[in-house]
Amino acid sequence: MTELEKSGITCRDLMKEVLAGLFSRPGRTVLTIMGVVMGIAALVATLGLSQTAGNRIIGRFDELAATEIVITAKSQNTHSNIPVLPWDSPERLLRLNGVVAAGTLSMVAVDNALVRASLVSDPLKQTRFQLSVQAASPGLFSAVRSELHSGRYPDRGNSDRADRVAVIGSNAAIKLGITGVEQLPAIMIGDNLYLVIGILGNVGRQPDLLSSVIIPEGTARKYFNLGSPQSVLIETKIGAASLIAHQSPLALRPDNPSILKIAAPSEPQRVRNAVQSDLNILFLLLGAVSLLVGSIGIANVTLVSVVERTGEIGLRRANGATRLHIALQFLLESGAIGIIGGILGASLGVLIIVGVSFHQNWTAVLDPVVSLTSPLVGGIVGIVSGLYPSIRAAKLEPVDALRSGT
Amino acid sequence: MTETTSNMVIKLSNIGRRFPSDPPVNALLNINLKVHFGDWISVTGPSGSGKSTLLNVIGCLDKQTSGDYFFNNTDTMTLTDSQRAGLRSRRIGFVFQSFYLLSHRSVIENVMLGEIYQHTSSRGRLERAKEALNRVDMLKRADFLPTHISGGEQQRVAIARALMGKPDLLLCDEPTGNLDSKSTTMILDLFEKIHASGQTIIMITHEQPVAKRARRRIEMIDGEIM
Repeated sequence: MTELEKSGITCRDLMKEVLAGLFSRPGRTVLTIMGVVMGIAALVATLGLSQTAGNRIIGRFDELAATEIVITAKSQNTHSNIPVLPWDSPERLLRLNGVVAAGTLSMVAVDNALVRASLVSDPLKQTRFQLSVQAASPGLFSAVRSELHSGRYPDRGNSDRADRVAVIGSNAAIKLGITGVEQLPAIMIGDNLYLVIGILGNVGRQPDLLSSVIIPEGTARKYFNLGSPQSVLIETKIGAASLIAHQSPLALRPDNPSILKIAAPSEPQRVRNAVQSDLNILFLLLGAVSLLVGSIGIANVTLVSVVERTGEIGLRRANGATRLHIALQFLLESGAIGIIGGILGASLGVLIIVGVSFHQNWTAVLDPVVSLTSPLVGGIVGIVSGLYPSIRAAKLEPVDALRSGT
Repeated sequence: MTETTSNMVIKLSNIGRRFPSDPPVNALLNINLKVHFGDWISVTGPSGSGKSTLLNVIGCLDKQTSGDYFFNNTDTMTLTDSQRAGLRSRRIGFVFQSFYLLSHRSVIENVMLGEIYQHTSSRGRLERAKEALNRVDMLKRADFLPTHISGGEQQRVAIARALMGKPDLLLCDEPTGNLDSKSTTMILDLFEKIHASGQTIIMITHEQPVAKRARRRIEMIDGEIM
């Protein structure tokens, strides 16, 4: 022998052998691929659905929580005749760019006076109720995003004239037996008569208003000696909350802004990230478990394949294949299963996201990186799963493989 | 030595193969053998006589534990695993009792398998495979699956695969062991034809009528050549 040439196989021949190996048992290959398809589809679908759902949750969060500011006094004892929160707080705040609505809300001290809707006392039925009585400026109803069941809200005129009018929450209305305002119903707060001009149907914020009687601020000042507003509720534009929270104390009390307590939402972006991060971790775990099951499937099938193809391995070694050639063939077969599974799984995952979003009338959201890298992830899973069986196949001695194979 | 020249395919000197068991088994003892180009040798002997172990050593599927083995004047003990694999792919063709045809590949694809580890271009491979099939008179079955042809035909396909790489040496391990008498005769006739074209053949068999067809006969008992 004049020259010692090493054994070798061209890439083209290797790929042909890999494809032939895959299609030699098509049923089994399809079932193995299905394992990866399920895993990748679960991963893509869960990631996509978490992003879609997260977007939905964050959207709601942005709309309500991230646009609400509540200002109260740190302490009501200021040793001063000046109210901590000025009566014209809503007007001052509305001058700030970013404030959508503002209104004051105060608990009215009614000295345990009961509220009733009828002058007649029925001995068989409760007709007097301990209801919370609150005073509100006209702007409050916008700030809490309330909706009317019937009637109207009290306006500035009602407050300025200190009219004895009230709006009652839907729960309070049920207790008092008032179903509408068409018949001009009235209620008694203690011994004073108030005309019910509106019934609240729902509120976006301050849900306790649904069980309360709300009277105009001017009325509370005149008849219940309300000394100053107890709180100011502000609705801001999305993203303006932190700026308004910073500016509001100066707008309300330029002389002493530190006496005010501001309850503002967390930074929306931070909360968005936190919410999405929590969702992603949960769903990623679920997807990873699915993928793990798929990879165990590949490893198992590849291992069985190595045992079944022992004779073939022996023949290939006799024909000149090195250990590396054998390992590469099995590794590429399992890698190809993973890649095909990744492509099909990503497609199925996207279909699931679109289907669920369509059904729920949501906007489907999916980072393209997730679906585009899925074949790569599938390939890596396939190669990692096929590593042990491939090494086992490569370690087979040709003599032993030929002896035990058929 | 003047004999280790270009007309010698293999030369075995004091070859021993010991398997480390308790007690150790000496499968081959002091084997000395020279095979020249164009030889047709049969190796016979009872079970456990070391025939298959000798074939494995000659085919570089196994290594001797003592002695020297030269293939085409190259000391095989100095070869790396990859070089031994290269030697198998280019210089040696194997024919086994169990054929080892891939059942999901056609006859011609099985034959082409004999060349893929030579790291050569696939250009002309199909023609070479057809030529090899023609040599064993199986070209008409080129597109059949191995499961759809008889045992004798399968062995002819296996021989074509072994001849595909144009080996210096054809090693046959019980090539007629799984065949009926008619197929056996056909395969032996085929070996006659191949040998007549100058192919060197070493054939292991336990059947004396088969061994008698070879030009030179070697008998082994207890790991030694008688």
